[in-house]
Amino acid sequence: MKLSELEKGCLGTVISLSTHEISIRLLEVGILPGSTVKVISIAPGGPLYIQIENNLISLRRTEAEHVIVEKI
Amino acid sequence: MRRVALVGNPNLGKSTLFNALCGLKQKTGNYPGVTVDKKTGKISDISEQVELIDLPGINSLYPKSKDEELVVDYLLSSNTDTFPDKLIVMASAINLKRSLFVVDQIRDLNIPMILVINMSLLAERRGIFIDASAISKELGVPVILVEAKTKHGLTKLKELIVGEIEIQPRKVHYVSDENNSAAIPNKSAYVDFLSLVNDPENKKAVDQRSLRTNEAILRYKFINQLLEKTVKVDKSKAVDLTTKADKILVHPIWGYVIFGVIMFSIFQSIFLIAAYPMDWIDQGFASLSTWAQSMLPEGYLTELICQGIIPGVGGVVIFIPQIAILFFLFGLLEQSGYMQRIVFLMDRFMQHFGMSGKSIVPMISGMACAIPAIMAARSIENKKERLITILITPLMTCSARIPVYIILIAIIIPDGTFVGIFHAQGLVLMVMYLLGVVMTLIVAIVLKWIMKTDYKSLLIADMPEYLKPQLSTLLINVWTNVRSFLWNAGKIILAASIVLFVLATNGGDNFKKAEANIESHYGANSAAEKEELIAAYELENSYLGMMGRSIEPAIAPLGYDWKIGIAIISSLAAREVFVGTMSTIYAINSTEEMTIRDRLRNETDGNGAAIFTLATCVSLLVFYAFALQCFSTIVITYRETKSFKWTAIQFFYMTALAYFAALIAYQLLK
Repeated sequence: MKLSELEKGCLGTVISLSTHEISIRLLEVGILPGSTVKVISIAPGGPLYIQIENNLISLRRTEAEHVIVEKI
Repeated sequence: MRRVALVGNPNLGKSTLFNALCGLKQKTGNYPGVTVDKKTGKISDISEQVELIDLPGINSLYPKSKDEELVVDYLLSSNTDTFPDKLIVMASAINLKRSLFVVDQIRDLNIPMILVINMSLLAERRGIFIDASAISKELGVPVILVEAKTKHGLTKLKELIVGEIEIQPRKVHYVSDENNSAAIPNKSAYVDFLSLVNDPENKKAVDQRSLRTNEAILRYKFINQLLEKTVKVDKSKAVDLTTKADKILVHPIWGYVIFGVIMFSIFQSIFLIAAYPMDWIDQGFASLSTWAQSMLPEGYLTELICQGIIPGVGGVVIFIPQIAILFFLFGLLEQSGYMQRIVFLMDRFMQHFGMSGKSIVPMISGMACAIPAIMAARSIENKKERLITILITPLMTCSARIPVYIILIAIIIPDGTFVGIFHAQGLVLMVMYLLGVVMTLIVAIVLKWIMKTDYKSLLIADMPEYLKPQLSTLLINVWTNVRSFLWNAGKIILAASIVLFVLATNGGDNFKKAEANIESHYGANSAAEKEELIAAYELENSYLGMMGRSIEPAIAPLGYDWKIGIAIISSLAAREVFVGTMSTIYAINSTEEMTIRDRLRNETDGNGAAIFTLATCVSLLVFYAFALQCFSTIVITYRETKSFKWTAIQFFYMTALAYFAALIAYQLLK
């Protein structure tokens, strides 16, 4: 499933990233295959607030669509 | 002199380290007249003179925003005079893996560097133990653990700064190359690689995107191996507190309520707390003027000092309490990490207006000053969003408008009026801020429709951990800003009050014949009455009065007389001059000791009707809310957009908006 489909409070493992340009940005901020991700909050109609390892990051749904995760 | 640059990810505590190293010996480009890209300072308590340059935070050496472009260009400009002798590259002990990515990239530039890992004590308390010497061996650069907040480790860092550092090229691990992975490349190998993957000219020759993705993956692989060897982690509870606080602070409902309450309290406190010191300053300058008048010998120079310079300068000094409080509170928002939560909460909303959540930071700092705010827009990657943010930011109510608003509000609403438990003048000021925000959004939506999009909008932002703000850093920030406000705005205002005084006390034929003309017109009056009539007649026929009267036809429909016209002319370059001018002009007419407010309230036209009626005051408020009377903003917009067209558009749309909005306000209310 996509990271954008993960519900608030859920955990997942990053499986892969798409080949889109955005993936480089996601890698830079530490969204790497194999790391554990948790959705902390979702703004109304807006971006996701995630924790990846020890990192706290916000990103839009359209960007989270490029991350494939497996729900834990 | 040695030159050292500070570089690293955003939100690592770079400013804290900068302040810990330089103390008060620093300059920021935050105010009228000064236009610097970088914050620079002199390191204190060190054996040699060292200049420290604070660069904006970057995530990688692939620039996506103006901010990052600036840093990357700087790091690659090794043949220029301003190039640093050394770099202090920062990482965070709490978040080592992520922050080492750009460190690893910078390492391959082979510029002498010191790796500073901040928040090491905090990390230890959370069970993260870092072996600095092992990392140093792996990376081939000196590594030092510090806690910038408590100055832990800074003595050793200063020793490294003045010492010699040799840096050797290392094995390439950022491209997958099976053939010669053992060879040591030449010094500029990575610079060449960067131009290969960053320069649009090479787009056709190589697959830049996959080279960059590949680099990121390979570097993280290297970093993971490095961390396995050098860092021991007990089960980390690093972000517990922050995520717990964020359950409420970014809650879909409570998050917005709290945001609103915080902004509301800021504006209330600006009025309530600042009122007392402002009264003292106001009274102080009025008595100073009287005192100087009695002490100095009578003459033109004394008049210039007492009726020109002292009221003019007093008009600036009086706003220091409010500006200081504003910068203090905004510093608090920024440093605690709350500002980034606003970015998250507001992103969706801002997209309706052709901007992103990141535009919130420039907009909110625009409430302090448009200059740093427009510069802060550099962190916005999307060009259209950035341009819209730059164009609308000067509509936000900046601190230079506060002087004008406060005087005018005080004329309309008596002191000490309360609506329920709220300070009535504070509420009106809040309405003025809201007016700025609403107009900002209206113009943004218009611009969104006019401008075409050709870039994809992005939001990938850090949510830094909540940190207890440090009082000393906050106060240093307030002090540097107040100092440059006083110095830069003060210079203009001092000069303006002298020029105004000279123009007001000299004039053509009518001016010189004032006494004779008054006598022939009004005949015998009491001596005091005659003196007052002569003074008024002189001002009207002075060079200044002639200037004011020449624009009167244009501004009469807005409810302004020629005296207000003079104030508008003189505040074209800096709006805060308005108050200084008003107090200078009205002081020229009378020798009585009076505060600026009372003087304006008592002002009447020839028929004894008050000049500053409700309609005129509201019209002036609206005019100053929308007009771009700030020379520095014009300069900075040009510098940031590199476009004469957009700079002109900004000036003209704001001027037109101000004129017509003030016209409508006056005509409806009169």
